[in-house]
Amino acid sequence: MRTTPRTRAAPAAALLLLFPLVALLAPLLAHGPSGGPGGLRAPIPWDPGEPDLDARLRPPGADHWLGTDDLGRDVLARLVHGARVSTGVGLLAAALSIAVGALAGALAGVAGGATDRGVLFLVEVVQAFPPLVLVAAGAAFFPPAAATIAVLVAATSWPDSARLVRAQARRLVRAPFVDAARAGGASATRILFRHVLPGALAPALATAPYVLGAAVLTEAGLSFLGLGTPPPAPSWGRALADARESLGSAWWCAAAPAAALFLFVLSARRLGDALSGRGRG
Amino acid sequence: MRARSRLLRLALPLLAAVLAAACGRVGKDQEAVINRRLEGEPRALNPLLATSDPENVVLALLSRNLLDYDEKLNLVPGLAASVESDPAHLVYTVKLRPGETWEDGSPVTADDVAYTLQAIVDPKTPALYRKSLFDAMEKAEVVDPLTARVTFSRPSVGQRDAFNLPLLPAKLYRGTDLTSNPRNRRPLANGPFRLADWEPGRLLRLVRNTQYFGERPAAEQVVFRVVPETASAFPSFRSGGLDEMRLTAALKAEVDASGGRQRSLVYDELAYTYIAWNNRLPFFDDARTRRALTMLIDRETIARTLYGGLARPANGPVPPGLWSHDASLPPWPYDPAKAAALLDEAGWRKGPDGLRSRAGKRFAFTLSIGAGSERQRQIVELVQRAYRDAGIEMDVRPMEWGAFTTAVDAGDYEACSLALNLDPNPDLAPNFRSTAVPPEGMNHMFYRDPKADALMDEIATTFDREKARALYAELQRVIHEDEPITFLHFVSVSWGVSDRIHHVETSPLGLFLFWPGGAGWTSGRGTAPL
Amino acid sequence: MLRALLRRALAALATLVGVLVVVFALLSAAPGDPAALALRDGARARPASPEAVAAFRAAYGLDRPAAVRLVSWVGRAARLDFGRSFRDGRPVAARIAETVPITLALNLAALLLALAAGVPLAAAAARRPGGAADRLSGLVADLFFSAPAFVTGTALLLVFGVRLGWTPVLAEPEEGLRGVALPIVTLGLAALAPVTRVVRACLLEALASPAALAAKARGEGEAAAVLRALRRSAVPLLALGASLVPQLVAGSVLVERLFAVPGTGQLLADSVFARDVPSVLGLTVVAGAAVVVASAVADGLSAVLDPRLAEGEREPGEAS
Repeated sequence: MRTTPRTRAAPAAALLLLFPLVALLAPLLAHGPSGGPGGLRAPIPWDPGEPDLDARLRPPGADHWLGTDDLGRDVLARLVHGARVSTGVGLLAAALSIAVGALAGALAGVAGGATDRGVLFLVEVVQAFPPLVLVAAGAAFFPPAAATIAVLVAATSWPDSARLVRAQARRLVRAPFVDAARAGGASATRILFRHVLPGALAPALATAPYVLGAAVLTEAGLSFLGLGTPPPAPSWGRALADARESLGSAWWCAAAPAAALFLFVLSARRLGDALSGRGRG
Repeated sequence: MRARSRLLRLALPLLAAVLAAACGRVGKDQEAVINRRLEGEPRALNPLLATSDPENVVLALLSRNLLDYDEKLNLVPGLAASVESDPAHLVYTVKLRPGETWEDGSPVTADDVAYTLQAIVDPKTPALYRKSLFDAMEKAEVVDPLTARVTFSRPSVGQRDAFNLPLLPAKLYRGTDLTSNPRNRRPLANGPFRLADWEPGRLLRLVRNTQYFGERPAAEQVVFRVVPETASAFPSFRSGGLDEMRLTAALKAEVDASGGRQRSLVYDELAYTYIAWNNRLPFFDDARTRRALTMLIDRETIARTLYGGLARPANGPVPPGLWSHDASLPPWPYDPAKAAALLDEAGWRKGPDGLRSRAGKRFAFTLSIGAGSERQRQIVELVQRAYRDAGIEMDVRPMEWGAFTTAVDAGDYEACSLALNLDPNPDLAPNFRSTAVPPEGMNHMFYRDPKADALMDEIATTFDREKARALYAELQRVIHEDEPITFLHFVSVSWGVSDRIHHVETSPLGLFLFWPGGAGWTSGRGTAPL
Repeated sequence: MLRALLRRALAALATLVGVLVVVFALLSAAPGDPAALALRDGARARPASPEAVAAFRAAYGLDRPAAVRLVSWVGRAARLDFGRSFRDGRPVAARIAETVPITLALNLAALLLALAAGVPLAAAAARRPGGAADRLSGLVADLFFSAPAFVTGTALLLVFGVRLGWTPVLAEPEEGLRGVALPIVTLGLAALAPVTRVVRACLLEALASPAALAAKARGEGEAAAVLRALRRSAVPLLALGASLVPQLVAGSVLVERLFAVPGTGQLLADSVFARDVPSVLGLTVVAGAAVVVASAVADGLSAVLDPRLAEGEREPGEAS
C-alpha cells in the first residue's frame, strides 16, 4: 500500500519548519544570563557571541552540550543563532532561484520563438560561466552579507529550474485544457499564470532542497576563501570553514554545523520529493 | 602538434602513476633530501622582484648576497669580501672574492654588481622592496673585474644594510625587460643549490650546485612543495611528508605534547600586528580616542590564549629583536574604565541606546580585513565584541585580497587590520613620516607629527649607535603617545621541524633568511634517540 | 544534419562570446588594478612606483581602452593565443595546458567513482520507491552532500593519511592511484548526491513506462528490468554527464587547495583574485568549449540511441 503524497509530506514539512522556528526563537532559546528578553532564563544559557578565552575548544560536556569553539563560545548557542543566517540564506536563495527560473522557463515554454531562444541563450551563458568569477566579483563589489550570498547563489542556480519548467510548460501548452482555455478567450498572461505555471512548478520545486543546501555550502566555501558572512553573525558555513584546521583535535566544531545542515537538506529533500511525487504519478 | 606532446607529457605522470602503483614505492634515497613547504607558489625567481616569502626562501638557497646577515643580524661577508665606505658615508667600495662563479661556470664580476644596482634604480623596474634603499644612489661603476664603486648623494645610516643584496647575471639580463625575462623561471644560481626542476603549482626541486664557490651543503636535494592549506600541511608534516612548516599555537602544542618525530622552535619575529586607524577621519583624529581604542583590547589574554603565550602586547613600532627597541616603555594597559573616561574626554559620549556619539555623529565604522588569516579573524571578532560593550559599533568587512590591498595602498579605508614585517634596518620613516603617504608611501594611515618627523630625519644621519638608540627611544615615546595605529602584538613565531633534520638555527629573520639558514641543514634517518 | 550542426556551432560560439564579454566586464569593473596587483605581492611588498605601473601597463597593453583589449584578445584567442599571464608573464595557453590534464584526470576518475557507487544505490532505491533501500541511499547521498568537500576531505586525510597511513596526505601522482585516492574519493563523494538523484528519477520513469509494465507482466526478472530501464534512460543520463563537464574542466578550488593539486581550480581562483584577465578568459574559453563539445556529443549519441527524438527537440531536463 503506497502512502499518499500528503501524508508523506507532513513530517518532512514539520521538520523543515523547525529550522525557521528555531531561527525565530533563537534569542529566547540561547542567551547569556543578562542578555535575554524579559529576563527569562534560556534553555541554553550561553551568549553565542561571548568569548571565553580560557575555555577554548572544550569537548562536549555538561556545561557546553556541544562543546566550545576556538574562541571559547558555546557551539550549541552559535548553532541555534546560526540557523537565522543559514536558513535565511538558503530559503532566500531557493525562493529567488525558483521564482526567476520558473518565470523564465514558463515564459520560454509558452511564448516559444524568439523569447524561447533568448531564454535558452541566457541559460547557456550562465551555465557556461565560471561561478567563481561571479562570486569573487560579487564579493569585490558588495559587502559580503547573507543577502549578497543568497543572490549570488540564485544567480548561478536558476537555469536548472528554468530548464525543467520550460520542458514541462511545453507539454502543458499542448494539453487539451489549455487549448480549451485559449478557445475560451483567455489572455496569454492568464494562460501563463493560471494554467501553465502551477502545473510546471512541481519539477522546479524538487530542486529546492539542493539549492537550499548549495546556498549554505557556497557560504561555507566562501568562508573557506575568507569571503563568507562577516562576524559577528554565527553562520553554519563559517563555523565549518573555521573548524577545518582543528578538525583532528576538535571535531565537534565541524560536526555540529554539518549535522544541522544535513537535517536541513534532508527535510527539504523529503518535502520536495513528496511534493513532486504528484508530478511523477 | 607541440601542444599535444606537451599535453601528453603532463598527463602522462598521472596515467603512468597507475602502473607505478603496482610496482610499489619508488625506492629513492630519501635521506639526503629535505622536504620543505611553501605556502604559495613563487611567481618568479628574480631576486630583485621577489617580495613574497615563498620567493625569498627559495632564492635564499640559490643566490648569495653581497653581504649576509648572520643569526644575530650582524652583516657578514657573502659574495663580497668587503663593503667599505669613505668617512663621509657617500662612496662605498664593493670587493668581490676571486673564484666566485655562476652555475654555468662563468665568473661573478663587478659588472654584475653595477648592472644589478642600475636595474634597481631604473624607474621602470618594480624592485618594490629594494628600490627605496637606493633612493640616494647616484652611480655604480666598475673599477676592476672584482671591484665596484657606488656613489650616493647623501649619507644614510642604513645604507650598508642595503648591500644585503643578491645579484643578477648581467650577461642574461642587460638590455632585456626585467619582468618578462624567461630567466625569471630558470634562474642562474651562484649559491649552494641550483634549480633542477619546477613543476608549476606543485613543487620546485633544488640540487647541489657543483660550481658553488663555498662549502658544499650537506643535503643533496631540497624539494619545495606548494601546500597552501595548513589543514593538510600539518597532517603531512606529522606523517613525515614535510620536514618543516610554520605552526600555530594549537599545532605547536600538539607537536610538543606528542614528542618523537618532530620538534618545535620559536623565534621573535621582526614584525608587529596592528589595527590601522585612518587618522584623517573624525573618529580617529584625536590621540585620546586612539589610545582608548587600544586600551579596550585585552592583549595580554589574547597573547596568553590564542597565541599560547608566544606573543606580547606591542609598545610601538620597534620589535624587541631590533637594537633600537626600547624595552623600558610599557605598552598601554588593558583598562576599559580608563578607556571609557578617555572617550568621554574626547567628546564621544554614550547615548540612551548605549552607543557613543559626538556632535550627532555615531561612533560606528567599518574595519576591513583581507580574506585569509585565521588568527586575524579570531582577534577581530574579539575586538568587535569588546568595542560593542564599550558603545562603539565596528562592522567587519572581509575583503577579497585584490580589493583589500588596493584600498590599503591608497589609504582608502576607515580601519584595517594588518601585520607588518620589517627588515633589520630599523628606519621608521617609510611607515611613519608625514611625507610617506599614498599613493607611493606606506604611511597609509596618514600619521602626521612634526616632532616625529624631525626625529626620523635626525636618525637618518646619526651614525653613532648609542646616540641613535637614544633618539629611537624618544621617537618611540612620541609614537606611543600618539598611538596612530593600535599596536597589537609582537609575535613569536613557532616552527615545526622534523627530528631527522639537524643544525637548524633561528634568527629574528626566521629559519631561512639569514646565512647559512636552510643551507646549513643536514638530514639523517628519522629515528628518535632511545 | 549538417545544417543543424552548423546552427549549433554558431549558437555555441555566440554563447561563448557572451560569457567572455560578461567575464571581462566583471573583472575590469571590480576594484583592484591588475598592474598594481601584479607588481605587489607578499609580506614585504610596497606599492609600486607610477613609472613601474606605467611600464607594466604598456607591456601588457593595459593602456588601451577596455573594448579594444577585449576585441584584440578574442582575435588572438581565435588562433589559440591567449596572451601572457599578468602574474608571471608566461603564456596563458601553457599554464592551461599544464593544469587541465590534471584536473580532468582527477575529476573523470571521481565521476566514474560516483557512477560506480551511485548507479547501484539508485537502482536499489528505484526498485521500491519509499522503501528502506530508497531511504538509505537518499540518506547516504545527502550526508555527503551536506558536508562541504573541504570537511570531507580533511576527515578523509586524517583517517586514511594519518591514522591508518594507507595513503599520502597530499596528492602524489608518482605513487599511483594510492597517491591520488583521497582527492578522487573526496570529489566522488561530493558528486554522489546529484548522480544518485538523477539516475533514480530516470529509473523510476523508465520503470513506470508502459513497455516496462508490459515486460513485468510477461514475467521479466527485476535485474533485467533495471538493466532495461538503465538502457532506456541513456538519454537523460548523457545529459547529466554533459551537465557535469564544466566541473570536470574547471575543477574544485577547495579540494585542489586542500590536497595541493596544481589544477585549474586553483589557477582560476588565483587568477581571479589577481585580476589576471588573460588567464581567466583563457580558462573560460577552454571550459566553455568543453561544455559545447560535450553537449554536442551528448546530442549526437542521444539521436543514435533514441531515434524518436527529432532534431532540436531534445530537452536535457525533461526526464528528471
